Amino acid sequence: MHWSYGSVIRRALGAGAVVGVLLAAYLYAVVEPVIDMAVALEEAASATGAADGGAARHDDPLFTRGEQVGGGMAATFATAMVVAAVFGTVFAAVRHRLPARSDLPRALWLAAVGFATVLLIPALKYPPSPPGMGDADTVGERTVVYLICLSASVLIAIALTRLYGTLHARLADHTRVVAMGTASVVAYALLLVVLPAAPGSVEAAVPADLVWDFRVRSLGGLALLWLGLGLGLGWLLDRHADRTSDRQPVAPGP
Amino acid sequence: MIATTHPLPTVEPIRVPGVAWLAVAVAVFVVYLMLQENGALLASSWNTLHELFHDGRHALGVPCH
Repeated sequence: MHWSYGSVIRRALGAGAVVGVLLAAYLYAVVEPVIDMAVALEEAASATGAADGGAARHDDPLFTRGEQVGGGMAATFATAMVVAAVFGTVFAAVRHRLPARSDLPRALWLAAVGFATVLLIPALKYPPSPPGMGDADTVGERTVVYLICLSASVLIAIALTRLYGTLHARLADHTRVVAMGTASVVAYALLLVVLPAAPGSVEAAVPADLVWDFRVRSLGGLALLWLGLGLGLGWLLDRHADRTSDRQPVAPGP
Repeated sequence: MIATTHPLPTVEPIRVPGVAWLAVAVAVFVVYLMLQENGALLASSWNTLHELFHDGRHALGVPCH
C-alpha cells in the first residue's frame, strides 16, 4: 500500500484529536486531584509564612483554580495535536525504514521510540513534579537544562539510527542487536550522568508519597498519549489498506 | 521483530513536502510558548501564559514551580 503524505497526516491528526480529548479528561479525573492536594499544601504553607519565594507567586493569583484546570485541559489537547502532527510527519519520513510488515507495528515501534526519547529520558533526569516543589526563581534555569536534555536525547536517537544503518553491512543481525542495545545504554547513561541535577527543585514541604503519586499519574498520561497515537495511526492506516486489498482481487473476474 | 526468517517487504518511501516540516516547526514553537516559556522570549505576557497553562505544565512534566 502506497500512501501520500496527506493521507498519513490526516489520520495522525484524527488520532491526535481523539487522544487529546481522552488526555484532557485524564488530566481532569486523574491528575487534578493530586494537583489540588499539592496546591492546598502550598497555600497552607504560605499562609503560615513557612514558604519562601516558591509559593509567593500564588499570593495574588492571575487565574482561579477553575480557570487553571480549563487552561490545563486546553494545553493538554493542543499538545496532543502537536505531538500527533510531529509523529505523523516523522512516521511518513521514516516509514520505509521501520522494521515491520504492516503499519500498526510500524507506528507502535515509532511511538515507543518517541516516548522513550522525548519523554522518558528527560523525565528520568528531571521528573514531573507537583506544584510547590520547584522554586519560582529557578524555573528558567530548570527549563534550559530540561530542553538541553530533550534535544540531546533526540540527537542521540538519530545518531543511533545512523549507527544501525552503518552496522548493517558489517555485523550479523543478532550481533547487531546486542551492539545497538549496548550503544544505546552507554550513550543514554552518559547523558544522564553528564547533565547537572535540577537546580533548587525538591522542597521538603511536599510529602514523598504525594510526589510519587503525582509522577506515576503524570507519566501514565504521557504513556497513554504515545500509545494512543501509535495505535490510532497504525490502526487507521492498516484498516484502509485492508479494505483496499480486499476489493482489488475481486476485480479480474471471468 | 528484527530477526525474522522471511525478508521484510520493501516499502516505497513517502515524499514529505518541505512545507510540512515548516508547519511542524511552527507547531513545536507554539507548544514551546504554551508550556516552556518563562520570560526568555516574551517580555510581559509570559507570566499570564505560565499561570493559565499551569496545571497542564505540571501534568505534562514540564518544569514549573
